[in-house]
Amino acid sequence: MPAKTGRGIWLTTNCLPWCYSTIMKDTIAQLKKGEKGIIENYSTDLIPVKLQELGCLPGNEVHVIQLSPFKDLFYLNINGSFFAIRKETAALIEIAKVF
Amino acid sequence: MAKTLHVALIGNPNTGKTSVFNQLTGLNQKVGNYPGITVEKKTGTCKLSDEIKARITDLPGTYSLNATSADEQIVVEALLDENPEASPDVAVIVADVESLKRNLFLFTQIKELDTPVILAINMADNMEKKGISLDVKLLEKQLNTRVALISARKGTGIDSLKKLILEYQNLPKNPVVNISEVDPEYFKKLEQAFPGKNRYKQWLRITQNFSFTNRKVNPSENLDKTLRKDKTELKRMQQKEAILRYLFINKTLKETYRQDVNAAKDLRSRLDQILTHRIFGYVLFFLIILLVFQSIYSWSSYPMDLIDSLFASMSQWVKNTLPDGALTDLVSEGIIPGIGGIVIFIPQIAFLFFFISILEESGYMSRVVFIMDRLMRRFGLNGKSVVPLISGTACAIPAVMATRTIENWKERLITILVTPFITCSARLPVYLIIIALVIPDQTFFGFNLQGLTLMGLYLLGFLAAVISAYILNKILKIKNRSFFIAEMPDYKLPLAKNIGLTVYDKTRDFVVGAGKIILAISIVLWFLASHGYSEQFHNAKEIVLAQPDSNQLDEEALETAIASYRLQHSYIGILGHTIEPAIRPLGYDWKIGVALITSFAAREVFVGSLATIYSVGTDDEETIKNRLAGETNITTGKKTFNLPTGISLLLFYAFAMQCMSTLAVVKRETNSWKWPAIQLFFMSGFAYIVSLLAYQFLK
Repeated sequence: MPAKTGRGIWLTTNCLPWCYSTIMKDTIAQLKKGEKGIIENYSTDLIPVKLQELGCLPGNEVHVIQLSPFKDLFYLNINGSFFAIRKETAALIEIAKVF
Repeated sequence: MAKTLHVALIGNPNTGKTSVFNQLTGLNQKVGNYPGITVEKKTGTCKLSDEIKARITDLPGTYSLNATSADEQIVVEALLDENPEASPDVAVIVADVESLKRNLFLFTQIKELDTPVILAINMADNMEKKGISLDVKLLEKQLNTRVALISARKGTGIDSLKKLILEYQNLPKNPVVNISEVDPEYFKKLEQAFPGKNRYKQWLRITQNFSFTNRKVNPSENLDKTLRKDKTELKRMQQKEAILRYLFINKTLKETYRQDVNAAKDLRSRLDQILTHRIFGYVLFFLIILLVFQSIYSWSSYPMDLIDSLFASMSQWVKNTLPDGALTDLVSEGIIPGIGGIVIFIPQIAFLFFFISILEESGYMSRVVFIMDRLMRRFGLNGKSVVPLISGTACAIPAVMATRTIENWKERLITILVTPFITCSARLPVYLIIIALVIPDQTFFGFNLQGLTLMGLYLLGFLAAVISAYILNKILKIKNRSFFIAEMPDYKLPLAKNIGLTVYDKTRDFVVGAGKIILAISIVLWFLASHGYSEQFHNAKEIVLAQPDSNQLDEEALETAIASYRLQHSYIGILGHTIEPAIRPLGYDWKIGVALITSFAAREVFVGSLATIYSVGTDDEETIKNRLAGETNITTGKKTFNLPTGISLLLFYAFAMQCMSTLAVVKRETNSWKWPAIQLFFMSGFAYIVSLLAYQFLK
């Protein structure tokens, strides 16, 4: 169950501050084609509001549908919205991988 | 008197909003279009009942009222307009049943504007196939609105939508999500500062940003100190707004919307695997483009030949039928060849727009954006620049407007500046006729040499565009934090009605817009060519006869000699000779010079102008091509259109900025005369130098 896994990691990260940084390093940019994750956190100041309006909000699932050549663009499905973002934006959105 | 309601169609991109608009209005639509007029709002009329008509405005697609690109800005501005004439009586939100969640975001925003709102859920015919079930009654209750389930594709539900529009006065106006909840204290102050005004509208005015244009407006400047917030704070509030809205939407949809995930979603992912593939994606893109251009040329050559000979015989018919005189001459030598010069390109332009609208409607264009972004970024462009660059092959004007989806101002500006290098349909007539005159009709390694030349010219235009983009990217110092979000819409089978309307609209605009200029220029040219003030003009016959070698000429040659002597001393001749020193190094005679000057109004005028200049005084029925082929240069005795001159002309047209309508639209999109002026001087100056070098080298 994807949702459960996400919450699990969220709890772990809160209980164990020392591993916070290591786990939190995962961002959308680390995902491979076909992989999924749950959006956890991002810096509001850096992320365009438009992404949030498209449904890129904490707790929502993100699914990487396709990577462009050289892994430059990420074609995502978040919350039923299909769109592509550049790698530097993807690297700002922290996620917990769903296996 | 019949009453007219004002209805605004609003929705996310790719929800089939334009199809709904086409269903409601049919052919009763008016697209304010180029040259000069804005294309941003499409309006049309629709008969709702015997007494009541509706004026329907189709606004550009947007995800939110927090605009991040120029086309979204248009929507916000239309809704914030205080003028009661401009504000709609009712807003129809068009939503896609499959992405209702995201579509409802915009809905909840519009619902705060004190305007009656109807929710039209489109593509309802797909619900069963996609395993979606919807409790419409409950949804209406939760959203405090009326819902119409429609399918613009099949034309179902449109009548019930019309009925809902008619009953708009019964619609509740109160919002479903309250913006005040973001920061109750702040919005209380805001309401006190603007009593009686809609607080959400005020909020939108404060948060509007213009980073995607070069406008420098700071909306919060005039605000009371307590209402002012810095950018980060505003952004936090906007995020809070987004969360608040999605909380409401998720809760609502949980009770009313169910989707069986196992139901087919396969076509999309299968097509995506191929079309965005790291190798096949590019191969297919190349093949598709090749196919498009190939078919444009091979398919349109038949109707073009037909039109050409039709106009030639029409000219002849007028000459034979109408009584001799100035008016007949004007019609047969000025107007008909001039108009013929433009009508002949209808087939190609129609085909070009046909293919481009199919690429856009099917959802394929977004995949091209996806695979091209990296390559384009190297040149300071954006993946989304591909759309203007491709549609620039039809016409630079809609292409420049298509840059509105690019969020980053610098990338958008560069795209606007380089788009006119792309070989547009107005260059085609010039290219085709010159290629036919100077490039031999031979095969070269199995390829037609003329076809290869044409392809080379297209490539040249494209290279000029990307190279100048690269240079501009280095030169322009515009700070702009770049972000890129491109929606990947679902694949759709293009609707014949939408394609047909686009092709019809664009072709009509081309013919009417260019036709007017060409008609006016033809008349002026004809007048200048058939009138003169000098002795030589009036006594042309006597002077030519008095020349020593004139008695060696037969009657026909004598007549040609007289006609060309008269032409040389007409007003146009005098004008042409004045500018000749400037263009002679490029290999042009004064007649080409005159045609060149007229084509600064629009490139396609060139052929019409040549046709007019060369047909004055001749009697025989000739197609434009044959007439030009027979032309010889008086001073050198060689053919006027030889290889060096031809190549020089081709290069000039490839690079020069010769389109007033494009300059006007660039001025409007960049909000200053600076950029169009730069385009005009740099592109034309570059064209002059390249043509000069080419002619001197080949001569």
